[in-house]
Order: sequence, then C-alpha cells, then structure tokens
Amino acid sequence: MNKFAALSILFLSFGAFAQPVGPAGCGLGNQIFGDQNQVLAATTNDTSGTQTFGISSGTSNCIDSSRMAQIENYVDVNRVALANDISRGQGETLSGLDNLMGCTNTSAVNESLKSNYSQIFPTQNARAVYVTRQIQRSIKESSARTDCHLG
Amino acid sequence: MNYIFWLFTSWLLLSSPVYALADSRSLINKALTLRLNYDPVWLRLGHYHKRLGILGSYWESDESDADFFVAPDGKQNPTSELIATIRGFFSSHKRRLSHSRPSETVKCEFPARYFYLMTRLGMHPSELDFSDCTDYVEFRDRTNANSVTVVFSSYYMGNPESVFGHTLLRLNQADPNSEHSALLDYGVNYAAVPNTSNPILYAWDGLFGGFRGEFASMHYYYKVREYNDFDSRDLWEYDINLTPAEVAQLVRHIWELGFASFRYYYLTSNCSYQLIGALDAAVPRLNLESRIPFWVIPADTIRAIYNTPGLVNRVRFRPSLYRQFESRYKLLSSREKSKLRELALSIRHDQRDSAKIKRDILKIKDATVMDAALDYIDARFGKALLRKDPKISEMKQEFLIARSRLPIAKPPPEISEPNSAPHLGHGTFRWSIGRGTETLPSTNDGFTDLSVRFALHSEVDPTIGYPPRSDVEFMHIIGHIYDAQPRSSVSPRQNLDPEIEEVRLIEVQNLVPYDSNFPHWSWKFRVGGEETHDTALCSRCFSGVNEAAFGLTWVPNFISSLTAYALVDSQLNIGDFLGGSASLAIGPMVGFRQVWNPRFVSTLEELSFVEIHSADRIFGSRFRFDTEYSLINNLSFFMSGMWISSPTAGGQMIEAGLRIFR
Repeated sequence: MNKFAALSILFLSFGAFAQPVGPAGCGLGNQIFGDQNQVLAATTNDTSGTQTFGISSGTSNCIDSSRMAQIENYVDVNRVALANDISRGQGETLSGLDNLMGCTNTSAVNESLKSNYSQIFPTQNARAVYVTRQIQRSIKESSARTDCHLG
Repeated sequence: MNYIFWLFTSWLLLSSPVYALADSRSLINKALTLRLNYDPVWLRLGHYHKRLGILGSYWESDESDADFFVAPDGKQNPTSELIATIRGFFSSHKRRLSHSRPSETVKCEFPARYFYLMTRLGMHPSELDFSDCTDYVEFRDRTNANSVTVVFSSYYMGNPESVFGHTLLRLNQADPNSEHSALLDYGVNYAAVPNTSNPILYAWDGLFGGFRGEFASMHYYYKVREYNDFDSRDLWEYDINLTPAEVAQLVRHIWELGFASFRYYYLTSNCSYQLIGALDAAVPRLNLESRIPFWVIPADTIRAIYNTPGLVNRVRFRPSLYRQFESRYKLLSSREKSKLRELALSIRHDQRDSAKIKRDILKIKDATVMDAALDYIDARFGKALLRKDPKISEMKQEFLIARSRLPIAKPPPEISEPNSAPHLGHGTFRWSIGRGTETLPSTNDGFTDLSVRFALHSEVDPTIGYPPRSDVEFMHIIGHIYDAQPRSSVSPRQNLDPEIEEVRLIEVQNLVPYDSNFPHWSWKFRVGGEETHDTALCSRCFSGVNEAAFGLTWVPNFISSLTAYALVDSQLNIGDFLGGSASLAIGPMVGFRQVWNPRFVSTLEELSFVEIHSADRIFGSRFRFDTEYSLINNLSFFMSGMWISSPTAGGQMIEAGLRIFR
C-alpha cells in the first residue's frame, strides 16, 4: 500500500466521521431536514432554486405578497422567539411583527398582546393561521386598534 | 416642411420593429468597436475568468447553467454572448428556461447586463425602463434595497462544513441607521444543493465540485433563526458604503444570479467566492477578487472587505442564543443565580412532572429570573423546540404563561462585542520557519523546519478574531531539512532532502467547557499522514494517520484564561512498515491551554497509550508543549517540544522559529 492509498483511505474515513447534521455551513446546504418546521424547511428550500423565483412569482407560501400571508409566515418561522417576546412584552421579533402590521403605537400593541398571551398561543405549536388571527383579534379589541393596518 | 417630414419618418422608424433590428445591429457594431466584449465589467457580469489551456489562454465563465447564457457557446465566448445579449434585448421572445423557472425575455432575465451595456452604448439611465419586466420589478420592489450589509456567521464546530464560517448579503430596506426591522430585510445566500445523504460522498462532492451551488433570497429572519438560534452562532454584520446606483445594479445582478448555478467547491468556489463575485460584478471599483487568495476562506473575504478604505460603515454584532442567555445570567444577583440553577435542575429532571414544574414556576416572582430561565430553555432545548417536541413545548408553555403575567422588565442591556470579530483576526494562511534538534536513541540531529498551512487557526495562534477554544487546521504541511545524514535503517534519507514530517489534511479541536446546565462533549480529530515518532514499530516511517479523541473540558472559575481537558484518544496508523495492516494506539490524554494574553498562548499535553498491532502491545507516552507569542500583527515567535518514551523507541524534539500569517 503506498502513501497515496493510505491517505485516501484516511480521507474517506474522515468523511464517515464528518456526519453532516446541522444546517448549512459555508454555502454547503443541509441534507437531512424534513418539513416539520419552516426554519428547518427553509434551509432545504432556499437551496432548491425555487425560492428566488417563488419570491418573484408569489407561488410559495412564504413569499405571498398579501400582508396577511406575510404575517402568517413571519409568525410561523419566528414562532419560538415571537412567543418569548409576546410573553415579555418586548423584543426585536415583536418589533418586527409590529412593523409588518404597520403599527405605530407599539407599546400599547405589545402590552395588549402580552396580556392576551395564552389566547394567542394556546399551545406552543398552535397553527400560524390561528396565532395570527388571535393576534389581530387582541389588537382589534384593544385601545391600539386604530394604530395598525390589519387589512 | 422637409424637417417635419424627417421628424415624422424617424418617429415611425423608432416605433417599428424594423428599427429595432437595425438598432440592435448598429448597437452590436458600436459595442464591438468599443471592445465591450472584453470590457472588464462585462466579463465580471458574465463571471468570466481567464484560464490557461494547452493552446494558450481563453475565457470561461464559472457559471455552469445554460440558462445563464444567451449564446449557445456563451460559456467560453464573451464576444458571441455579448452579440446574442444585445440582439436579445430587442426581441420580445421569451426564452424557455430549465428548472421550472418562468420564461423571460433576455432583457428581463438580465437587467444588470441591460443597464450596463445600454448606458455604455449611449443611453441615459433615466431612459432605461424595466416596466415590461413584471417579475423582476416585483422582486426589486419587494427587496426595496436601500443599502447593503455583508453578514458573517461565525464558526460552527458542530458541523464539519461550517467550521470556516459562512457569509451572505443582506439588502436593507432602509438606511441601516434608521429605525427599521432588519429581520424583514432580504438575505441573499449562496449555497450548495446537496444531492446525497451519504456522508462520504457528501464530503467528497462538497470538496471536489460534485454539487451545484445556487443563489436564493429570503427574509433575513430565516437566517437569524437558523444561525443565531438553531446553531447558536454569532452573526457579524458589516454595513457597506455603496451609492444608490451601485445598490440598484447589485439588485439587478442578484436577480440575474437567480437564474444561475455554479459548480460548488468547498474551498474555492464557495459562498464567499460567489458573494465577492456578485459584489465585484455590480460594483467593479471594489475589485475584491484581486485581494483574496486562491483558497477562499470566509474570514479572509471579510478582512478584504473591511480593509477596503471607506467601504465598511459600521460593524454590528448579533449575539447567538447561548450568548443572550449568558448575558442575562450575568446580570442576576448571586441569590437569583442560585434560584435559576435550581430551576434549571428541575427543568432538566422534571420534564415529565408538569405539576412540579408548575409549582416551581409559581415561586418565581421576578421577571429578570424568568427571562433568564426562558433563555436557558431556548439555549438548552432550542432544537427540540424547533422540532416541536411535545414535552419540551408544554413545559416551556407553562413558563411563557407565567412570564406573561409578570410585568415588562427593563430591556436587557446591549451585549458587548466579544473579541472574536472576524475582521480583527490574523490571516488564515501561515508560513513557519524554524530551527530545531531531534534526538533519537542512536543519533542527534539538527534540522530546519519549513511549514505551510492553508487555513485557519491553531490553538496557540493569536486569539483575537477567533472563537476561544476551537481550532481548525486545513492542509498543514510540515517539512524538515536535516543537517546530516540520518541513521534510520528502515527509511534511509538523502542528505539535505526536505522531508515531509507531517501533513494535516484536517485537524479540528473543539474544547467546550462542560457545565451540567449545558453538557457538551469536547473532541478533536485529525486526518493526514506523518513520520512516525510514537509508534514503536518503526521510528521514522511515513504513515497515514487518523486520530479521534473525546472527553471533557474544564475552565476554572478563578482562572478563566486556563482551559484543562481530559480526552480518550485513539490513533489509527496505516503504512507500508505495518505490512499493509493498521496499528491502533489508544490512551488517556490530558492537556492545558493557557491564554496569557490574546497574543501569547501556551499549551501542554500528555498522552499515555497502548499501541496494538497484530499480537504486539506496546506501552508508551508522549509529552508535548507549544507556545506562540505574537510580536507584531501577523508575525509570531513560536517554540515547541515533544518527548516520547516507549520501551523500543523514543526521543525528543525541540524547535523554535517564526510564523507569518497572511
């Protein structure tokens, strides 16, 4: 066995060692995600070549041009961070939602969402459509209802 | 009268297809007279590079997808591509594209080419109208780019392809200094499209061009959730200074790249290479490509961008989930800390006992403790939460309901930047020159050490700009030139021949301090070849080597600059001298790493092993030290030594010298 053969065998065993498990690295996309979650799905979707064009044609759910669909998508992808922020009444992810809903009086909106947390997220895994509807309802029932464009 | 007649006929001509055809012909002539076919910007827009062949140099595009070219021979021929592109601008024919992409006219598929060529050919930018390109206009309006940020996602040792870090672009909807939500901006990401789940093929294809790579754009929040939260990696954001016209051209070119796909090479044609290619094509004055070496390491491209005078406006730090928890935890009083530790214990052990968790939660009356607890759950169980694990989700829901009943806390103070910003780091390419002596049982010999390392960072290199306890070395070749005729009878050596002492194809060491709240294994592995020292079977023979070690790391509270680790090490050697079979050495390894200051680091390591080869069992030990002191930026002094003892072989080696980074 010569040196080269020895090196290549070792290289291959390195490959076996290096099980790619997490999401994309330096542009090397991930291979094992299923569709349980949008973030996970995105790491596979965004490399499938459809997304840029989805963005342009509005076919994929995460890029629908309607404001409602955008909010639902935002809620779904950011769900963990958004639930934290709503229960705390502040945070960047919540500000992003306020921004997306065109809310101006954000402190009133955030306050109202916070006090309705358990209606908005009855469980951690509530459907995004449901969560979005509850967010809108809690704003509509609050003093901040005129501060947002809820469509 | 005559005058009005001419005006009328030229208006007729202008609005007729006959004019268009004539016009494209005259524009093509004009373009060729201006030699636009070899214009640097045109070549960049086509991602053409000069290559050397047997018959001299020729142009070839990096792009491998036929959709990216209008001419059939466009990949190798910038001239015919230019002619076909200009002709295409005047045709309303929609090209049929592959990969289920919507068909587009040439102008709508290539708005950046259209804009550049038409302005070069005498049109005023205000005359150029894209209103007939519905899809492109929708993309442009949705990204609504006002400024651009280059984003670096820090090193992630949990995943082999992420050990060098990652780069992407962000198109900011507003001036980055104004109040707006960066999460809603668009990220532009280049990534490989893997088509295998076999890890060996995956590594092979990733390194040697087996995958296609494509650009995709998506809301930045996808990337924040993925890198900051799911991987717990820090993000560094570099706002760059481009004119509105340059931003607009970059958006046009990104649209074009959406139709492209490239051959992906992990080391050369990766995310950073493509990002730099896109920036250079849209903003030729940057000429970033000329300042990065053949091997494209993301941190090197960040340094090239950062060191361009006037380019980077501002650097922002977006902390990982773990760092967010850490900063909230640090704010707590010692009483609150112990309360949180108790809570963490019950979170880990009583996940099934929801009644107990509820009782524990009700005891927390303080919003800051609760906020830290929430961050703890995310940092510890983030992946389970994203996968919607029912038990963890229910447990967290209890915390969130309780949190929503507590008042809004003061916003947490901004997390101070750690000194791991990539632009501060040493260059990743490293030369070493040293002198040393080697003592084997029978001889004593001086040598000159000449070593080269392509990337990235070793445990003793200056720590600024790199993660504190993770090291990656790729293609590290250590050569020795011995002073005298050596003595080994097994591998006779020629005088003054440089000899390969060791080749590290890759070595990764990830020492994560163990903490019951965040139990992490520490590990290292190394693949390559080396002259054997510590095998008793042959004292100087070249051998393939594969080393893997697992264990725990401890960082004492009272000296945080010290890292201590204990690993179980295993080393497989393969070589001629083993008669075609392998030898395996296994044993405990203990090491210490002391960071005296960010420019001065030392390590000590002791390994005891038993080496197994067919029926032989040989016991031995190896002791190593290494120290490096940075004299000035990118120049360090180093000293290292190694002692090996075993019943049949053994010896020592000491050397010192200089290391140059670039």
